[in-house]
Amino acid sequence: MGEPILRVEDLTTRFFTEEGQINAVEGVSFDVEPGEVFGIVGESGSGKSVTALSLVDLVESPGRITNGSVWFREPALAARIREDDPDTAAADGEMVDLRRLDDNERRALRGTEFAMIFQDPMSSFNPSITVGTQIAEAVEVQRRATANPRAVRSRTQGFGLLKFLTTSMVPTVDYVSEESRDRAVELLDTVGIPDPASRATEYPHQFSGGMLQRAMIAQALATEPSVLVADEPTTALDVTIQAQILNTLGDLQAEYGMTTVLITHNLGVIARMCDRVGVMYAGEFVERGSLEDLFERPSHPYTEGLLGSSPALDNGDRRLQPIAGNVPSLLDEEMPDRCYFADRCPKAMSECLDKPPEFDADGSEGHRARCYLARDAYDPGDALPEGYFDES
Amino acid sequence: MSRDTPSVETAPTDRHGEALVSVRDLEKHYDTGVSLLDRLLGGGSNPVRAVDGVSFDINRGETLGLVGESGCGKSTVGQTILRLESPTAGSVSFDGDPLAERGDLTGFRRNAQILFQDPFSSLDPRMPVGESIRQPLEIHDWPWDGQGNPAERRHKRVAELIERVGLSTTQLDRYPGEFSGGQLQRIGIARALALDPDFVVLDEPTSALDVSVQAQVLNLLADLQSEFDLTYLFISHDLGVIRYICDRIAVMYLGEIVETAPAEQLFTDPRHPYTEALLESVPRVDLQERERDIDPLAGDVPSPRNPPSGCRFRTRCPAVIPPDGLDIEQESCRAITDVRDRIADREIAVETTRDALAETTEGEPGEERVAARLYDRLVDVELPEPERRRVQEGLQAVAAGEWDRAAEHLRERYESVCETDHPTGQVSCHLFEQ
Repeated sequence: MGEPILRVEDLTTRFFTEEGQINAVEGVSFDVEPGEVFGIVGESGSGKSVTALSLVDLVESPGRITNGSVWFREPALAARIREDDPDTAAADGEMVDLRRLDDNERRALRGTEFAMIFQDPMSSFNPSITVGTQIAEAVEVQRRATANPRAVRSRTQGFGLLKFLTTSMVPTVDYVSEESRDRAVELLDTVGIPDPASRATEYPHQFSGGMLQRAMIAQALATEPSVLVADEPTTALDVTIQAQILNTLGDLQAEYGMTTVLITHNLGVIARMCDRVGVMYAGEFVERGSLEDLFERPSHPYTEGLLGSSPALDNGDRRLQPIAGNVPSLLDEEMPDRCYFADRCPKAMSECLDKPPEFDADGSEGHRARCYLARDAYDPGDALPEGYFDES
Repeated sequence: MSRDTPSVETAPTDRHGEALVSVRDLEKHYDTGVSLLDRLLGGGSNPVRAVDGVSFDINRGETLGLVGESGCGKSTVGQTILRLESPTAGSVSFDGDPLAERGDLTGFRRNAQILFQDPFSSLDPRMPVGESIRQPLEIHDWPWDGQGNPAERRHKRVAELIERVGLSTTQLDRYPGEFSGGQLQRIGIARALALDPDFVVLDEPTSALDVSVQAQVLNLLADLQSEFDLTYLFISHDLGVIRYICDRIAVMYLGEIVETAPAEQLFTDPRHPYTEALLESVPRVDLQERERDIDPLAGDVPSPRNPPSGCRFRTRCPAVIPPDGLDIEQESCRAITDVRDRIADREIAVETTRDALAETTEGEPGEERVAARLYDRLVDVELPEPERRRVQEGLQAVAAGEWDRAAEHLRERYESVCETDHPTGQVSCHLFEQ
């Protein structure tokens, strides 16, 4: 294994709602190596999107990252921080902890080194600004950041009367330079939009869903990011368009060598795009490893269950093997202190009433599973009686 | 009230293979209305042709899959068959009787039910789920044999149904908000089956569910089908699900059915280029998936307000038939067609190009130079010399503002059978017509 570019340690994100505390992400740890595609797969409500938002520091109130570190490799910055303060906890070797950096540093890093693609392209663009301008704006932010890393401010940042007056009197064009506009057209061309010069002058509603998703990829590329976080980038699209977008993403990834964290619920997309994968369930990584590890020798019964419930296109005869029960609630008070999957697990044992740690599993280095079965063989004699978890 | 008595005496298996539902030339157009301005300008209405002439049979006891991308009209077909929408044209027969001739649809409604995609919005949030399941029994005045106390028997029937779909009678008094999506979909199934129908339209029944729960619901639907001898119309965009549950499959594109085939055959030997592309696009859950080369369809689905002439798929088809005597590669053919489509839609920014040229050079650029620049922008493949000249000539006409002449000039040489003739047949593609 090489040196990771991104190292997530014990990331914990909670939402403090009126109904109670929601443990959306709980103690998630993983490494991502430069240039690889790391997939996070899970069902709705498993915390995969919140994990993505936590990576790029976009978790909004009532949510908060309550614990953990997001280490990002940035040797120059790490050295500088250590110079300022030799005992700093924000730097470790060549890595810096995005959560411990001060706001300006973090903003400079987040705005230029990280980019994010969202699921729904239609709601991710401002409907009243042309697509070209919105992409050019991202380019402009990056230009200004390169010029002065400590003063990254986007046009939309800040508030107050003065801000209101300046933005209403000074047209938006002033923020975006002509070079940035040209670069935006180039970017639209890169992501495969035909006739980019004229499409750049159009508004989001004039684009189809697939085209707009391409535009969003162009916007993400604008800052030439090191890490691209793609949250369900093709879920809102039809399969033929999904195939186009996945091909485009794959080509760009190969060309720019971007590190990508890809979040999806679709195991087919995982199979097509990813080098290594983490499987999320109830806010935790229940298993992580290489694609081969997960598909050929899944250690966690949940991973097995996911594979068993996916209808295969090339074999219609197989009866589906569903997982019994339902996706659990993430409300803190409703989360028992045991393996969260035990109540749906076909191989639940009395041991599972103690929360399992991550164990090393067979296969590649880095294959881990949060299940006792990764350590011991299944012992039917130890199985929990049927109906153990049934409530009244 | 006229009402057919449920045919308990006929052993259902006898009639397998007979058409239960026959759909002929069904059309459903949505006219958003002609505004005053349109009328003043002399423009007619331009309806959305959601369903534009589909015909198929659904045989007793089988599951017919209707698959297609969003906006292809598959859900509208389901709703029009059930008369939740009235068709613009065409006919639907149920059990041999044309629905249009039935004055009273009550008997039909009892026998044909629907399960909707979104379980959260298809159950009344203020009604206990037991009530929701009981409602069809009350509306149709079940039990029809008049024996026993109706209230008691309905109560028993509801209990039977909820247990059959895998929930417990203790949950009958709860409200939809207390259930998960998968459980609600089970309740929807119980409601659809309450009157023991023959035919159920399943409109994307598992699209809102997670994959582990989807598998539970699919298995349940398959079990119920054999247990109650149901006939399904299964509408979905998910080819994996379609393959798993369907006997025969109809593929829809832009309001039309492009191919109908038995499930096995459609997946092993797809004929229509659209079916082929659709199957190819689906990422497989397989380790070899990364090595598989996908050549995705170009472009987007055209607007159903103004579908392409001839074959509707021709604007994206990777196998358009070139006109007789013209021997060019598919890629070139595609590029020329794209230019022609843009000329037809007048979607070429001539002025922008002219201005850009004027900035870099002295004086007003001539039509020839504008055409050359347009050519560079619009055509990104290497065309053989005669074709290159022809397209340039066309663009020159465009630069001169003579759109119609440009369109005509290119049409003369490049018109394909795919744009003049509408294909017909089981596989509606000119490649498969004799």
